[in-house]
Amino acid sequence: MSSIKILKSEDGSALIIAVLILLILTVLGMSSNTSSTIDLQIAANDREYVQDFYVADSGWKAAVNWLEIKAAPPEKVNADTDEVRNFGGGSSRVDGDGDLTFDEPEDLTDGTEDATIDGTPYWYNVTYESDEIEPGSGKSYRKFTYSARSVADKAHEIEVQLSKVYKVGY
Amino acid sequence: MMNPAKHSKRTGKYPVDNEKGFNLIELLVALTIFAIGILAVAAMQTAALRGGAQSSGLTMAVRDIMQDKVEALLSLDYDDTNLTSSEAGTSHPTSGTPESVTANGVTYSTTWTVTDYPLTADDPDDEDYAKQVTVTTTWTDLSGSHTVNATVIKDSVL
Repeated sequence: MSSIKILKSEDGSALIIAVLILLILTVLGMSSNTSSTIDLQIAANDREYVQDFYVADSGWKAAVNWLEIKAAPPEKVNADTDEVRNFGGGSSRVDGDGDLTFDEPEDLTDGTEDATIDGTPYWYNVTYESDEIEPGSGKSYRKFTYSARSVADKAHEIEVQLSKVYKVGY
Repeated sequence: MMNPAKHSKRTGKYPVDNEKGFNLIELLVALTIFAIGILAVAAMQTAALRGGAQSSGLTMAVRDIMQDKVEALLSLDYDDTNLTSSEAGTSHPTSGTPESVTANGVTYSTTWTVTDYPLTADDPDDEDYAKQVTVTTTWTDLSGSHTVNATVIKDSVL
């Protein structure tokens, strides 16, 4: 048979048609398989997100307690910033020249975390924002406002404003 | 006069009239291969559906069951009976029977453990300041048994 005749011949076309249909179905099946795999990854990431969120949500509560047990407003710890508490509770982030030795997020180095919850580390810092007279509480009481930042797993951050009335100038 | 039978046997002019088919062996080979292929595709579809069910079950457990419970517990009073704690951890519900929710034919069981939490080294007395609450949701679907949990700090000051 000449090649033209082979091309024109319809012998064996059933197999070719069957294989082509199978090919199409396989591609469809693989795409639904891929999308279900991605769905699973999305759900797994969402679970991790929720878990990390609650760790970050715990970090700022640690800041609440840190402020709560102080009898007097905490001192600033760094020369250049209004931070009254560093991430990880370190004493100072300033070197001899008064420059910050490191900036966020390099602050969040392994081993300096404030605590871990279920193996997920969190860090929190507290920054002074303002203080004002607390009406009706006498002259020696002032309301201090702080912002607390809590970071879980170096990825999820929650920032909260906290206020507490402290007795000052005694 | 036209013979109807003869007429129907005519081939070629219109495709509808074409009676040329596949030969039996060719058809049998093609069908066999097609059938094997279709079985594989069907198995793939089953796996895909199972994966879809698993991911929707996981999302349901995390968002609608577990997170719901965490938020409900966080909104309770610090000394609520659902939040009684101990150093080793107190299991809740204290009846020992997990809280069950059934959704899409799957039953999700939820328990939680409340532990005294040493919040910071600065704390003079840990348990008075915070508790650690771990909510665990368990369910079983076609692919087996699954567990998710989340842990959060419940603060006495707030």
